[in-house]
Amino acid sequence: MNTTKKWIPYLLISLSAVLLLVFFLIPFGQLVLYSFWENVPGSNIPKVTFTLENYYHLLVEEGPYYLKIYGTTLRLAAIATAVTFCVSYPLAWYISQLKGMAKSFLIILMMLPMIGGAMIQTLGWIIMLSPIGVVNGLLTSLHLIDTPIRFLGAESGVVIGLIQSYIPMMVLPLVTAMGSLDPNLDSAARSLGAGFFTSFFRITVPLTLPGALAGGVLVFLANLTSFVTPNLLGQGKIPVFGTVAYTQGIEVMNYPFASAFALFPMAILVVGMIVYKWILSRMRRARQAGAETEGRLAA
Amino acid sequence: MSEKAGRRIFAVISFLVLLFTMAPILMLFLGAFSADNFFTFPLRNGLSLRWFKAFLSSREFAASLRVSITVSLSATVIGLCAGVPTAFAIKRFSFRGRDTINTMVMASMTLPRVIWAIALLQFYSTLHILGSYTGLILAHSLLVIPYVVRMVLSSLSFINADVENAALSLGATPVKTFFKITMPLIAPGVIVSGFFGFVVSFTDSVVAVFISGVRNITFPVRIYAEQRGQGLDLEAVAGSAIIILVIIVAEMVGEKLFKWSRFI
Repeated sequence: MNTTKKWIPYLLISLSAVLLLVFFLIPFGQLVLYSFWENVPGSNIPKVTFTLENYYHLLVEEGPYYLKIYGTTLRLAAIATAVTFCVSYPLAWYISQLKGMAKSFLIILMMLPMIGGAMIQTLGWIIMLSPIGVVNGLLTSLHLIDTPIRFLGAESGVVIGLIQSYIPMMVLPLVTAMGSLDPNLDSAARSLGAGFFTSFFRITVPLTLPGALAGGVLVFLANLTSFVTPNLLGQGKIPVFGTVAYTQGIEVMNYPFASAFALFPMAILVVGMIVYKWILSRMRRARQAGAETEGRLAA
Repeated sequence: MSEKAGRRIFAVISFLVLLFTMAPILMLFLGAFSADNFFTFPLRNGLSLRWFKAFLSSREFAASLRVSITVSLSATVIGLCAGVPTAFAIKRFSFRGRDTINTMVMASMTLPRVIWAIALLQFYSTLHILGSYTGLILAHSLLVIPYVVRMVLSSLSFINADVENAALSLGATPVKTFFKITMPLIAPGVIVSGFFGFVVSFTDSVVAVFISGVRNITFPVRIYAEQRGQGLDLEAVAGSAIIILVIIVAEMVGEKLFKWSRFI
Protein backbone atom coordinates (compact mmCIF):
# COMPACT_ATOMS: atom_id res chain seq x y z
CA MET A 1 0.00 0.00 0.00
CA ASN A 2 1.55 3.27 -1.09
CA THR A 3 1.15 6.23 1.08
CA THR A 4 2.90 9.52 1.53
CA LYS A 5 2.09 9.65 5.22
CA LYS A 6 5.20 8.46 7.00
CA TRP A 7 3.68 8.13 10.46
CA ILE A 8 1.20 5.42 9.55
CA PRO A 9 3.49 2.38 10.09
CA TYR A 10 4.63 3.88 13.39
CA LEU A 11 1.02 4.19 14.50
CA LEU A 12 0.44 0.56 13.52
CA ILE A 13 3.36 -0.77 15.54
CA SER A 14 2.91 1.62 18.48
CA LEU A 15 1.08 -0.73 20.87
CA SER A 16 3.55 -3.59 20.30
CA ALA A 17 6.47 -1.21 20.62
CA VAL A 18 5.23 0.23 23.91
CA LEU A 19 4.51 -3.21 25.38
CA LEU A 20 7.92 -4.51 24.31
CA LEU A 21 9.64 -1.44 25.73
CA VAL A 22 7.89 -1.46 29.10
CA PHE A 23 7.59 -5.19 29.80
CA PHE A 24 10.61 -6.52 27.96
CA LEU A 25 13.40 -4.00 27.46
CA ILE A 26 13.06 -2.05 30.71
CA PRO A 27 12.90 -5.15 32.94
CA PHE A 28 16.01 -6.47 31.17
CA GLY A 29 17.77 -3.16 31.57
CA GLN A 30 16.89 -3.28 35.24
CA LEU A 31 18.21 -6.83 35.52
CA VAL A 32 21.56 -5.74 34.05
CA LEU A 33 21.78 -2.67 36.31
CA TYR A 34 20.78 -4.55 39.46
CA SER A 35 23.53 -7.10 38.86
CA PHE A 36 26.06 -4.26 39.31
CA TRP A 37 24.33 -2.63 42.27
CA GLU A 38 24.58 -3.39 45.95
CA ASN A 39 21.99 -5.40 47.84
CA VAL A 40 20.27 -3.70 50.79
CA PRO A 41 19.10 -6.46 53.15
CA GLY A 42 15.36 -6.32 53.78
CA SER A 43 14.66 -4.04 50.82
CA ASN A 44 13.81 -4.89 47.24
CA ILE A 45 15.52 -1.79 45.90
CA PRO A 46 19.31 -2.02 45.82
CA LYS A 47 21.76 0.78 46.52
CA VAL A 48 22.80 2.63 43.38
CA THR A 49 26.56 2.16 43.12
CA PHE A 50 28.80 0.28 40.77
CA THR A 51 30.04 -2.95 42.27
CA LEU A 52 31.30 -6.31 41.03
CA GLU A 53 30.46 -7.78 44.42
CA ASN A 54 27.57 -9.91 43.06
CA TYR A 55 29.68 -11.48 40.35
CA TYR A 56 32.59 -11.96 42.78
CA HIS A 57 30.24 -13.74 45.16
CA LEU A 58 28.84 -15.87 42.31
CA LEU A 59 32.10 -16.90 40.68
CA VAL A 60 34.69 -16.76 43.46
CA GLU A 61 33.31 -16.76 47.00
CA GLU A 62 30.53 -19.24 46.29
CA GLY A 63 32.12 -20.26 43.01
CA PRO A 64 32.37 -24.01 43.60
CA TYR A 65 28.66 -24.22 44.45
CA TYR A 66 27.25 -22.08 41.64
CA LEU A 67 29.66 -23.23 38.93
CA LYS A 68 28.67 -26.77 39.77
CA ILE A 69 25.03 -25.83 39.18
CA TYR A 70 25.89 -24.29 35.80
CA GLY A 71 27.89 -27.43 35.03
CA THR A 72 25.02 -29.79 35.90
CA THR A 73 22.67 -27.67 33.80
CA LEU A 74 25.03 -27.79 30.81
CA ARG A 75 25.56 -31.53 31.11
CA LEU A 76 21.87 -32.44 31.39
CA ALA A 77 20.95 -30.03 28.57
CA ALA A 78 23.67 -31.46 26.31
CA ILE A 79 22.53 -35.05 26.88
CA ALA A 80 18.86 -34.18 26.36
CA THR A 81 19.59 -32.14 23.22
CA ALA A 82 21.75 -34.86 21.65
CA VAL A 83 19.08 -37.52 22.20
CA THR A 84 16.30 -35.22 20.96
CA PHE A 85 18.35 -34.44 17.85
CA CYS A 86 18.91 -38.11 16.98
CA VAL A 87 15.40 -39.42 17.59
CA SER A 88 13.74 -36.50 15.79
CA TYR A 89 15.27 -37.29 12.38
CA PRO A 90 13.47 -40.60 11.68
CA LEU A 91 10.15 -39.27 12.98
CA ALA A 92 10.43 -36.09 10.89
CA TRP A 93 11.26 -38.19 7.84
CA TYR A 94 8.25 -40.40 8.50
CA ILE A 95 5.85 -37.46 8.88
CA SER A 96 7.22 -35.71 5.79
CA GLN A 97 6.50 -38.84 3.72
CA LEU A 98 2.82 -38.82 4.71
CA LYS A 99 0.11 -36.93 2.87
CA GLY A 100 -3.30 -35.40 3.54
CA MET A 101 -5.22 -36.22 6.72
CA ALA A 102 -2.59 -38.55 8.19
CA LYS A 103 0.08 -35.85 7.92
CA SER A 104 -2.03 -33.07 9.41
CA PHE A 105 -3.19 -35.39 12.19
CA LEU A 106 0.41 -36.14 13.19
CA ILE A 107 1.30 -32.44 13.03
CA ILE A 108 -1.66 -31.71 15.32
CA LEU A 109 -0.38 -34.37 17.73
CA MET A 110 3.15 -32.93 17.66
CA MET A 111 1.81 -29.44 18.43
CA LEU A 112 0.23 -30.71 21.65
CA PRO A 113 3.40 -30.96 23.78
CA MET A 114 4.50 -27.56 22.44
CA ILE A 115 1.38 -25.67 23.47
CA GLY A 116 0.08 -27.98 26.21
CA GLY A 117 2.48 -26.49 28.72
CA ALA A 118 5.14 -28.15 30.85
CA MET A 119 2.99 -28.30 33.98
CA ILE A 120 0.30 -30.59 32.57
CA GLN A 121 2.85 -32.91 30.97
CA THR A 122 4.91 -33.12 34.12
CA LEU A 123 1.84 -34.57 35.87
CA GLY A 124 1.79 -37.26 33.18
CA TRP A 125 5.47 -38.01 33.76
CA ILE A 126 4.93 -38.35 37.49
CA ILE A 127 2.19 -40.95 36.83
CA MET A 128 4.64 -42.72 34.55
CA LEU A 129 7.83 -42.53 36.63
CA SER A 130 6.90 -42.51 40.32
CA PRO A 131 8.00 -45.50 42.47
CA ILE A 132 4.41 -46.80 42.27
CA GLY A 133 3.91 -45.52 38.72
CA VAL A 134 3.41 -47.20 35.36
CA VAL A 135 7.02 -48.00 34.44
CA ASN A 136 7.94 -49.42 37.83
CA GLY A 137 4.59 -51.20 38.08
CA LEU A 138 5.13 -52.89 34.72
CA LEU A 139 8.72 -53.88 35.45
CA THR A 140 7.80 -55.26 38.88
CA SER A 141 4.87 -57.33 37.62
CA LEU A 142 7.12 -58.73 34.89
CA HIS A 143 9.59 -59.64 37.69
CA LEU A 144 12.36 -57.69 35.98
CA ILE A 145 13.08 -55.63 39.10
CA ASP A 146 12.54 -56.12 42.84
CA THR A 147 12.84 -52.57 44.07
CA PRO A 148 11.45 -49.66 42.06
CA ILE A 149 13.89 -47.62 39.98
CA ARG A 150 14.19 -44.07 41.23
CA PHE A 151 13.40 -41.66 38.38
CA LEU A 152 11.84 -38.80 40.34
CA GLY A 153 14.36 -36.77 42.28
CA ALA A 154 17.09 -38.19 40.07
CA GLU A 155 18.84 -36.90 36.97
CA SER A 156 17.35 -39.67 34.81
CA GLY A 157 13.80 -38.42 35.39
CA VAL A 158 14.74 -34.82 34.59
CA VAL A 159 16.53 -35.83 31.37
CA ILE A 160 13.59 -38.02 30.25
CA GLY A 161 11.21 -35.10 30.80
CA LEU A 162 13.50 -32.68 28.96
CA ILE A 163 13.93 -34.98 25.95
CA GLN A 164 10.18 -35.41 25.57
CA SER A 165 9.35 -31.71 26.02
CA TYR A 166 11.36 -30.51 23.04
CA ILE A 167 11.05 -33.31 20.46
CA PRO A 168 8.29 -31.38 18.62
CA MET A 169 10.45 -28.23 18.58
CA MET A 170 13.01 -30.27 16.61
CA VAL A 171 10.63 -32.38 14.51
CA LEU A 172 8.32 -29.68 13.13
CA PRO A 173 11.01 -27.50 11.45
CA LEU A 174 12.64 -30.71 10.14
CA VAL A 175 9.35 -31.79 8.55
CA THR A 176 9.20 -28.42 6.77
CA ALA A 177 12.84 -28.70 5.67
CA MET A 178 12.37 -32.24 4.36
CA GLY A 179 9.15 -31.29 2.61
CA SER A 180 10.97 -28.63 0.60
CA LEU A 181 13.69 -31.04 -0.60
CA ASP A 182 13.59 -31.91 -4.29
CA PRO A 183 12.31 -35.53 -4.44
CA ASN A 184 14.33 -35.99 -7.63
CA LEU A 185 17.52 -35.98 -5.55
CA ASP A 186 16.40 -39.10 -3.71
CA SER A 187 15.27 -40.79 -6.94
CA ALA A 188 18.58 -39.88 -8.62
CA ALA A 189 20.59 -41.38 -5.76
CA ARG A 190 18.43 -44.52 -5.85
CA SER A 191 18.70 -44.94 -9.61
CA LEU A 192 22.46 -44.71 -9.22
CA GLY A 193 22.30 -47.66 -6.86
CA ALA A 194 22.17 -46.05 -3.40
CA GLY A 195 20.11 -47.96 -0.86
CA PHE A 196 17.49 -46.51 1.48
CA PHE A 197 19.93 -45.68 4.29
CA THR A 198 22.67 -44.43 1.98
CA SER A 199 20.24 -42.02 0.38
CA PHE A 200 18.94 -40.93 3.79
CA PHE A 201 22.34 -40.33 5.37
CA ARG A 202 24.11 -38.95 2.28
CA ILE A 203 21.28 -36.87 0.73
CA THR A 204 18.47 -36.08 3.19
CA VAL A 205 20.54 -35.55 6.35
CA PRO A 206 23.25 -33.25 4.87
CA LEU A 207 20.70 -31.11 3.04
CA THR A 208 18.53 -30.61 6.13
CA LEU A 209 21.43 -30.27 8.58
CA PRO A 210 21.57 -26.44 8.66
CA GLY A 211 17.88 -26.26 9.62
CA ALA A 212 18.34 -29.08 12.11
CA LEU A 213 21.31 -27.36 13.75
CA ALA A 214 19.33 -24.13 14.08
CA GLY A 215 16.53 -26.16 15.70
CA GLY A 216 19.10 -27.89 17.88
CA VAL A 217 20.38 -24.56 19.20
CA LEU A 218 16.84 -23.55 20.17
CA VAL A 219 16.27 -26.90 21.88
CA PHE A 220 19.56 -26.60 23.75
CA LEU A 221 18.66 -23.10 24.94
CA ALA A 222 15.24 -24.33 26.05
CA ASN A 223 16.84 -27.26 27.90
CA LEU A 224 19.36 -24.98 29.61
CA THR A 225 16.67 -22.69 30.97
CA SER A 226 13.79 -25.06 31.63
CA PHE A 227 12.17 -24.57 34.99
CA VAL A 228 9.05 -26.67 35.56
CA THR A 229 10.48 -30.02 34.41
CA PRO A 230 13.64 -30.05 36.60
CA ASN A 231 11.69 -28.54 39.48
CA LEU A 232 8.90 -31.11 39.61
CA LEU A 233 10.65 -34.19 38.22
CA GLY A 234 13.84 -33.37 40.14
CA GLN A 235 11.76 -32.76 43.29
CA GLY A 236 14.18 -30.07 44.40
CA LYS A 237 17.07 -32.54 44.52
CA ILE A 238 18.56 -31.62 41.15
CA PRO A 239 19.46 -27.93 41.33
CA VAL A 240 19.80 -26.48 37.82
CA PHE A 241 19.81 -22.96 36.42
CA GLY A 242 16.02 -22.50 36.24
CA THR A 243 15.24 -23.84 39.70
CA VAL A 244 18.04 -21.92 41.43
CA ALA A 245 17.01 -18.69 39.65
CA TYR A 246 13.54 -19.23 41.12
CA THR A 247 14.82 -19.87 44.64
CA GLN A 248 17.08 -16.83 44.45
CA GLY A 249 14.29 -14.59 43.13
CA ILE A 250 11.35 -15.73 45.23
CA GLU A 251 12.80 -17.12 48.44
CA VAL A 252 16.17 -15.47 49.03
CA MET A 253 15.04 -12.04 47.77
CA ASN A 254 18.59 -10.84 47.04
CA TYR A 255 17.76 -9.23 43.71
CA PRO A 256 21.25 -8.04 42.74
CA PHE A 257 22.69 -11.50 43.27
CA ALA A 258 19.74 -13.18 41.51
CA SER A 259 20.34 -10.82 38.56
CA ALA A 260 24.01 -11.73 38.36
CA PHE A 261 23.14 -15.42 38.59
CA ALA A 262 20.63 -15.14 35.71
CA LEU A 263 22.78 -12.89 33.53
CA PHE A 264 26.15 -14.63 33.72
CA PRO A 265 25.20 -17.54 31.40
CA MET A 266 23.40 -15.08 29.10
CA ALA A 267 26.56 -13.03 28.84
CA ILE A 268 28.59 -16.12 27.98
CA LEU A 269 26.01 -17.08 25.39
CA VAL A 270 26.04 -13.66 23.74
CA VAL A 271 29.85 -13.58 23.67
CA GLY A 272 29.88 -17.13 22.28
CA MET A 273 27.48 -16.15 19.51
CA ILE A 274 29.52 -13.07 18.58
CA VAL A 275 32.73 -15.14 18.43
CA TYR A 276 30.93 -17.83 16.40
CA LYS A 277 29.65 -15.25 13.87
CA TRP A 278 33.09 -13.64 13.68
CA ILE A 279 34.75 -17.00 12.93
CA LEU A 280 32.09 -17.79 10.32
CA SER A 281 32.59 -14.47 8.53
CA ARG A 282 36.39 -14.89 8.69
CA MET A 283 36.05 -18.37 7.18
CA ARG A 284 33.75 -17.09 4.46
CA ARG A 285 36.11 -14.24 3.61
CA ALA A 286 39.06 -16.64 3.55
CA ARG A 287 37.16 -18.94 1.22
CA GLN A 288 36.18 -16.05 -1.06
CA ALA A 289 39.77 -14.85 -1.16
CA GLY A 290 40.86 -18.39 -1.97
CA ALA A 291 38.32 -18.67 -4.76
CA GLU A 292 39.47 -15.34 -6.21
CA THR A 293 43.12 -16.44 -6.24
CA GLU A 294 42.14 -19.68 -7.89
CA GLY A 295 40.14 -17.77 -10.46
CA ARG A 296 43.08 -15.48 -11.19
CA LEU A 297 45.43 -18.47 -11.48
CA ALA A 298 43.02 -20.17 -13.86
CA ALA A 299 42.82 -17.01 -15.96
CA MET B 1 19.57 -53.64 3.00
CA SER B 2 16.38 -53.79 1.01
CA GLU B 3 14.19 -50.76 0.49
CA LYS B 4 11.24 -52.25 2.33
CA ALA B 5 13.25 -53.23 5.40
CA GLY B 6 14.73 -49.72 5.63
CA ARG B 7 11.34 -48.07 5.50
CA ARG B 8 9.97 -50.49 8.05
CA ILE B 9 12.81 -49.81 10.50
CA PHE B 10 12.21 -46.06 10.24
CA ALA B 11 8.47 -46.54 10.66
CA VAL B 12 9.04 -48.56 13.85
CA ILE B 13 11.49 -46.01 15.28
CA SER B 14 9.08 -43.20 14.40
CA PHE B 15 6.22 -44.96 16.14
CA LEU B 16 8.30 -45.44 19.30
CA VAL B 17 9.44 -41.80 19.31
CA LEU B 18 5.87 -40.64 18.76
CA LEU B 19 4.66 -42.85 21.61
CA PHE B 20 7.38 -41.45 23.90
CA THR B 21 6.47 -37.88 22.96
CA MET B 22 2.80 -38.50 23.68
CA ALA B 23 3.39 -40.71 26.75
CA PRO B 24 2.78 -38.10 29.47
CA ILE B 25 -0.40 -36.90 27.76
CA LEU B 26 -1.71 -40.46 27.40
CA MET B 27 -0.86 -41.15 31.04
CA LEU B 28 -3.03 -38.22 32.15
CA PHE B 29 -6.07 -40.12 30.88
CA LEU B 30 -5.06 -43.31 32.69
CA GLY B 31 -4.61 -41.37 35.94
CA ALA B 32 -7.81 -39.38 35.50
CA PHE B 33 -9.98 -42.49 35.10
CA SER B 34 -8.39 -44.35 38.01
CA ALA B 35 -10.77 -45.31 40.82
CA ASP B 36 -8.02 -45.48 43.47
CA ASN B 37 -7.44 -42.93 46.20
CA PHE B 38 -3.93 -42.36 44.91
CA PHE B 39 -2.37 -43.48 41.66
CA THR B 40 -0.72 -46.89 41.54
CA PHE B 41 -0.03 -49.17 38.64
CA PRO B 42 -1.56 -51.66 38.00
CA LEU B 43 -4.84 -49.96 38.99
CA ARG B 44 -6.38 -51.61 42.06
CA ASN B 45 -10.05 -50.74 41.72
CA GLY B 46 -10.47 -50.33 37.98
CA LEU B 47 -11.83 -47.23 36.28
CA SER B 48 -14.21 -44.54 37.43
CA LEU B 49 -15.28 -40.97 36.85
CA ARG B 50 -14.76 -39.93 40.49
CA TRP B 51 -11.80 -37.62 39.82
CA PHE B 52 -13.63 -35.82 37.05
CA LYS B 53 -16.57 -35.28 39.41
CA ALA B 54 -14.23 -34.10 42.15
CA PHE B 55 -12.49 -31.69 39.77
CA LEU B 56 -15.72 -30.23 38.42
CA SER B 57 -17.10 -29.62 41.93
CA SER B 58 -13.87 -28.20 43.37
CA ARG B 59 -14.17 -24.52 44.32
CA GLU B 60 -10.40 -23.92 44.31
CA PHE B 61 -9.99 -25.20 40.79
CA ALA B 62 -13.04 -23.30 39.57
CA ALA B 63 -11.53 -20.10 41.02
CA SER B 64 -8.14 -20.73 39.41
CA LEU B 65 -9.78 -21.52 36.06
CA ARG B 66 -11.66 -18.22 36.28
CA VAL B 67 -8.38 -16.37 36.87
CA SER B 68 -6.71 -18.25 34.01
CA ILE B 69 -9.51 -17.57 31.54
CA THR B 70 -9.74 -13.89 32.48
CA VAL B 71 -5.98 -13.44 32.13
CA SER B 72 -5.66 -15.39 28.89
CA LEU B 73 -8.67 -13.82 27.19
CA SER B 74 -7.52 -10.29 28.06
CA ALA B 75 -3.96 -11.08 27.00
CA THR B 76 -5.20 -12.52 23.70
CA VAL B 77 -7.34 -9.46 22.93
CA ILE B 78 -4.43 -7.12 23.68
CA GLY B 79 -2.05 -9.38 21.76
CA LEU B 80 -4.31 -9.31 18.68
CA CYS B 81 -4.80 -5.53 18.85
CA ALA B 82 -1.03 -5.09 19.01
CA GLY B 83 0.08 -7.94 16.77
CA VAL B 84 -2.20 -7.68 13.72
CA PRO B 85 -1.31 -4.03 12.92
CA THR B 86 2.36 -4.77 13.62
CA ALA B 87 2.40 -7.66 11.14
CA PHE B 88 0.59 -5.48 8.60
CA ALA B 89 3.11 -2.65 9.02
CA ILE B 90 6.06 -5.03 8.69
CA LYS B 91 4.63 -6.63 5.53
CA ARG B 92 3.17 -3.66 3.68
CA PHE B 93 5.30 -0.64 4.63
CA SER B 94 8.98 0.09 4.53
CA PHE B 95 10.04 2.34 7.35
CA ARG B 96 13.02 2.94 9.60
CA GLY B 97 12.98 0.54 12.52
CA ARG B 98 11.09 -2.17 10.64
CA ASP B 99 13.84 -4.74 11.14
CA THR B 100 14.24 -3.70 14.77
CA ILE B 101 10.60 -4.30 15.66
CA ASN B 102 10.55 -7.57 13.73
CA THR B 103 13.68 -8.82 15.49
CA MET B 104 12.42 -7.72 18.90
CA VAL B 105 9.09 -9.50 18.47
CA MET B 106 10.78 -12.72 17.37
CA ALA B 107 13.48 -12.44 20.06
CA SER B 108 10.78 -12.22 22.71
CA MET B 109 9.63 -15.66 21.55
CA THR B 110 13.01 -17.43 21.63
CA LEU B 111 14.45 -15.73 24.68
CA PRO B 112 14.45 -18.05 27.70
CA ARG B 113 11.25 -17.49 29.64
CA VAL B 114 12.91 -18.04 33.02
CA ILE B 115 15.29 -15.12 32.56
CA TRP B 116 12.48 -12.88 31.39
CA ALA B 117 10.34 -14.03 34.32
CA ILE B 118 13.01 -13.13 36.87
CA ALA B 119 13.49 -9.74 35.21
CA LEU B 120 9.72 -9.15 35.39
CA LEU B 121 9.61 -10.32 39.00
CA GLN B 122 12.16 -7.69 40.04
CA PHE B 123 10.58 -5.00 37.85
CA TYR B 124 7.08 -5.62 39.24
CA SER B 125 8.37 -5.82 42.78
CA THR B 126 10.02 -2.41 42.39
CA LEU B 127 6.76 -0.98 41.05
CA HIS B 128 4.70 -2.78 43.74
CA ILE B 129 2.48 -4.46 41.14
CA LEU B 130 3.63 -8.00 41.90
CA GLY B 131 0.60 -10.31 41.94
CA SER B 132 -1.75 -7.84 40.25
CA TYR B 133 -4.13 -8.86 37.49
CA THR B 134 -2.94 -6.04 35.21
CA GLY B 135 0.70 -7.03 35.55
CA LEU B 136 -0.03 -10.65 34.70
CA ILE B 137 -2.27 -9.75 31.75
CA LEU B 138 0.22 -7.33 30.19
CA ALA B 139 3.11 -9.77 30.62
CA HIS B 140 1.03 -12.50 29.02
CA SER B 141 0.09 -10.24 26.12
CA LEU B 142 3.80 -10.31 25.23
CA LEU B 143 3.58 -14.11 25.06
CA VAL B 144 0.72 -13.77 22.57
CA ILE B 145 2.16 -11.06 20.29
CA PRO B 146 4.93 -13.10 18.61
CA TYR B 147 2.47 -15.89 17.72
CA VAL B 148 0.05 -13.35 16.22
CA VAL B 149 2.76 -11.49 14.29
CA ARG B 150 4.28 -14.68 12.90
CA MET B 151 1.00 -16.25 11.78
CA VAL B 152 -0.49 -13.02 10.41
CA LEU B 153 2.75 -12.35 8.50
CA SER B 154 2.50 -15.78 6.91
CA SER B 155 -1.19 -15.33 6.05
CA LEU B 156 -0.42 -11.87 4.56
CA SER B 157 2.14 -13.49 2.30
CA PHE B 158 -0.55 -15.84 0.99
CA ILE B 159 -2.65 -12.95 -0.35
CA ASN B 160 -1.80 -10.95 -3.40
CA ALA B 161 -1.06 -7.26 -2.75
CA ASP B 162 -2.63 -6.53 -6.15
CA VAL B 163 -6.08 -7.13 -4.68
CA GLU B 164 -5.45 -4.32 -2.19
CA ASN B 165 -3.99 -2.07 -4.89
CA ALA B 166 -7.02 -2.71 -7.09
CA ALA B 167 -9.35 -1.57 -4.30
CA LEU B 168 -7.19 1.51 -3.72
CA SER B 169 -7.09 2.44 -7.38
CA LEU B 170 -10.87 2.09 -7.55
CA GLY B 171 -11.10 4.82 -4.93
CA ALA B 172 -11.36 2.96 -1.61
CA THR B 173 -9.58 4.62 1.29
CA PRO B 174 -6.67 2.66 2.86
CA VAL B 175 -8.73 2.10 6.01
CA LYS B 176 -11.70 0.81 4.02
CA THR B 177 -9.39 -1.39 1.95
CA PHE B 178 -7.93 -2.90 5.10
CA PHE B 179 -11.27 -3.74 6.67
CA LYS B 180 -13.11 -4.76 3.47
CA ILE B 181 -10.35 -6.57 1.57
CA THR B 182 -7.35 -7.43 3.72
CA MET B 183 -9.08 -8.33 6.98
CA PRO B 184 -11.50 -10.92 5.51
CA LEU B 185 -8.60 -12.53 3.63
CA ILE B 186 -6.36 -12.84 6.67
CA ALA B 187 -9.20 -13.66 9.09
CA PRO B 188 -8.35 -17.40 9.30
CA GLY B 189 -4.75 -16.56 10.23
CA VAL B 190 -5.93 -14.03 12.83
CA ILE B 191 -8.37 -16.49 14.41
CA VAL B 192 -5.83 -19.32 14.49
CA SER B 193 -3.13 -17.07 15.98
CA GLY B 194 -5.61 -15.88 18.59
CA PHE B 195 -6.32 -19.49 19.54
CA PHE B 196 -2.64 -20.34 19.84
CA GLY B 197 -1.95 -17.16 21.78
CA PHE B 198 -4.77 -18.02 24.18
CA VAL B 199 -3.50 -21.56 24.74
CA VAL B 200 0.11 -20.44 25.21
CA SER B 201 -1.00 -17.89 27.79
CA PHE B 202 -3.38 -20.35 29.46
CA THR B 203 -0.76 -23.06 29.87
CA ASP B 204 2.14 -20.76 30.81
CA SER B 205 3.53 -21.78 34.13
CA VAL B 206 6.91 -20.04 34.19
CA VAL B 207 5.94 -16.36 34.03
CA ALA B 208 2.83 -16.99 36.15
CA VAL B 209 4.72 -18.89 38.87
CA PHE B 210 7.21 -16.03 39.18
CA ILE B 211 4.85 -13.06 39.18
CA SER B 212 1.33 -14.16 40.09
CA GLY B 213 1.87 -13.83 43.84
CA VAL B 214 -0.59 -15.49 46.20
CA ARG B 215 -3.96 -13.96 45.33
CA ASN B 216 -4.55 -14.40 41.60
CA ILE B 217 -3.50 -17.99 41.14
CA THR B 218 -3.83 -19.36 37.61
CA PHE B 219 -4.60 -22.99 36.90
CA PRO B 220 -0.99 -24.09 36.18
CA VAL B 221 0.28 -22.22 39.26
CA ARG B 222 -2.33 -23.97 41.39
CA ILE B 223 -1.13 -27.37 40.08
CA TYR B 224 2.47 -26.34 40.71
CA ALA B 225 1.82 -25.30 44.30
CA GLU B 226 -0.15 -28.45 45.00
CA GLN B 227 2.45 -30.68 43.41
CA ARG B 228 5.23 -29.11 45.49
CA GLY B 229 3.15 -29.29 48.65
CA GLN B 230 1.32 -32.60 48.71
CA GLY B 231 2.31 -34.67 45.69
CA LEU B 232 0.25 -36.04 42.84
CA ASP B 233 -3.41 -34.99 43.03
CA LEU B 234 -5.68 -36.97 40.71
CA GLU B 235 -8.20 -34.11 40.72
CA ALA B 236 -5.60 -31.94 38.99
CA VAL B 237 -4.83 -34.82 36.63
CA ALA B 238 -8.51 -35.09 35.66
CA GLY B 239 -8.64 -31.32 35.08
CA SER B 240 -5.52 -31.46 32.93
CA ALA B 241 -7.00 -34.31 30.89
CA ILE B 242 -10.10 -32.21 30.23
CA ILE B 243 -7.96 -29.26 29.13
CA ILE B 244 -5.86 -31.42 26.79
CA LEU B 245 -9.05 -32.85 25.32
CA VAL B 246 -10.42 -29.36 24.70
CA ILE B 247 -7.15 -28.35 22.97
CA ILE B 248 -7.18 -31.46 20.73
CA VAL B 249 -10.81 -30.89 19.70
CA ALA B 250 -10.17 -27.20 19.02
CA GLU B 251 -7.09 -28.09 16.95
CA MET B 252 -9.09 -30.59 14.88
CA VAL B 253 -11.94 -28.13 14.30
CA GLY B 254 -9.40 -25.43 13.41
CA GLU B 255 -7.70 -27.71 10.91
CA LYS B 256 -11.06 -28.59 9.34
CA LEU B 257 -12.19 -24.96 9.08
CA PHE B 258 -8.98 -23.02 8.48
CA LYS B 259 -6.28 -25.56 7.59
CA TRP B 260 -4.12 -23.99 10.30
CA SER B 261 -1.15 -26.30 9.79
CA ARG B 262 -0.14 -24.09 6.82
CA PHE B 263 0.53 -21.14 9.18
CA ILE B 264 3.15 -22.94 11.27
